[in-house]
Amino acid sequence: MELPYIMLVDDNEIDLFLHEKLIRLSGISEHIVHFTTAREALESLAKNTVIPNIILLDIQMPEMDGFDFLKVYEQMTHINKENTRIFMVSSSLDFGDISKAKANPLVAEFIKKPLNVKELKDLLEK
Amino acid sequence: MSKERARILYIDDEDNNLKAFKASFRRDFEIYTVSDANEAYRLLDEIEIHVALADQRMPKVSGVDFFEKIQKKHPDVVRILITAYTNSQTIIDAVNKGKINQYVVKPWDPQNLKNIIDSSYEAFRVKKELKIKNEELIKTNDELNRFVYSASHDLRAPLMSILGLVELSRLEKGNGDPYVYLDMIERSVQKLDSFIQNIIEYYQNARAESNHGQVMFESLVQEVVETLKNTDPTVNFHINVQQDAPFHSDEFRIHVILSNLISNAIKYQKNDASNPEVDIMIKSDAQKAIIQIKDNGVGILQEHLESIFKMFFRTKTLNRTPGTGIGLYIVKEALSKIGGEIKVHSVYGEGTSFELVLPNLSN
Repeated sequence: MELPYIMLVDDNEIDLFLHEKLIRLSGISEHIVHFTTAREALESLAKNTVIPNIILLDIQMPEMDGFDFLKVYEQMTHINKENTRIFMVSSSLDFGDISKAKANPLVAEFIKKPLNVKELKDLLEK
Repeated sequence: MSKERARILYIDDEDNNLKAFKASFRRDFEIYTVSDANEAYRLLDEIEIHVALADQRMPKVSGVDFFEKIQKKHPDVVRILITAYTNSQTIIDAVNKGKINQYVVKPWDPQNLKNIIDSSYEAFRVKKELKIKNEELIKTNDELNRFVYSASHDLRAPLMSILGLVELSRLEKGNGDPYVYLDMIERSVQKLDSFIQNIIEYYQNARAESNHGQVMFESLVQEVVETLKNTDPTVNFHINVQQDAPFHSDEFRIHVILSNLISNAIKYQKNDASNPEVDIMIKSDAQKAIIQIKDNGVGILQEHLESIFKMFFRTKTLNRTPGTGIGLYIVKEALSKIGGEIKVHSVYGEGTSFELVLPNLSN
């Protein structure tokens, strides 16, 4: 089976490093791109024809947060949303943010930081 | 709060009544007497009147009509109706329409009327104090909400990074480079610590009593720059202080303001800047001080300029140490305590300049 293509979006570089490592170590994927701003991630999605199978999207990011990202992403007609699963990731315990993430039809699941390898594997390989 | 003298408006079409009133009470209150309703409306717009007395029988506008009219615009003014004729319809109208607080029958006894005015003013003052306290509470509550929201993210995020690193080291069973992880843990701890320090600084600033004294700008600026310049030794400082007269203000707060603004000017330099610069210009005289802090750093996006003074607001920064979103909020709070004002001008990618005007409190 082909391994999924994964995009990571997070303003925290340590978390980006961590998540990438965890995904590699657990054997989920080797094909990973990462961005520290939502804008750069969207630019990449707009100009590329190969679209990630999975996006791990941080919620709180300055300038453009995870929810802003989703608004623009939704308008991207060249992406078949069926083939891409978005997981929102956050260390936040804010009830509003978590509910909003879970309620968004574009979001497959909300994942709490720190990411747990087993949980991640179960979710991503589902 | 020092108790100010009660400001009393008395409206009556008979000049003799106005004169008698003024003669009786001019030592006790600040008295404004008018014989015409239009004049009274204008006065109420311009001066904060605490207690208004009106004669019921006036040719153009009755006392009740007058009170009914000023209710909406000046709801806090305590209303006292004075009348010689006690007819029940007037009393009913006075209460229902004029919403009067007191009813005084002519001829009035000076001591008695003074007591009524005193207690009316007291009622006004208590109501007003309550209003101010309520506004403070709303603000504190709003800050608390922001704080809880921010704590759930900003305080927790570095901890979760560290937990993740611990988990990763465990998974790698010692095969990874521990120094890389230690560096990352250190960065996370520093981030958390600077956030905590900022919050403490904010609350110290919010609580500290104002302490006025002489401010020597030259030495103050040197001291602030001296402490901060090690954070980025490549930055060139240009300092120009011109102090023409003794300046009185709260030195602690000016220190807080300068520290935050200069620290920002250093922090938000471009990563690849070839000649990072921070210009500090201060010009002070007997009236005011004008302070300008200018950098050639990353600048602020136009759409963010309005939000930068809000608590926990952060703009995207092009370098690695993002702010905690509390520095400029502290600046604004400190400025409001010393009566100063701040303006910001910024071009994204070119730099930012803050201009402050502080009043000289020596008078």
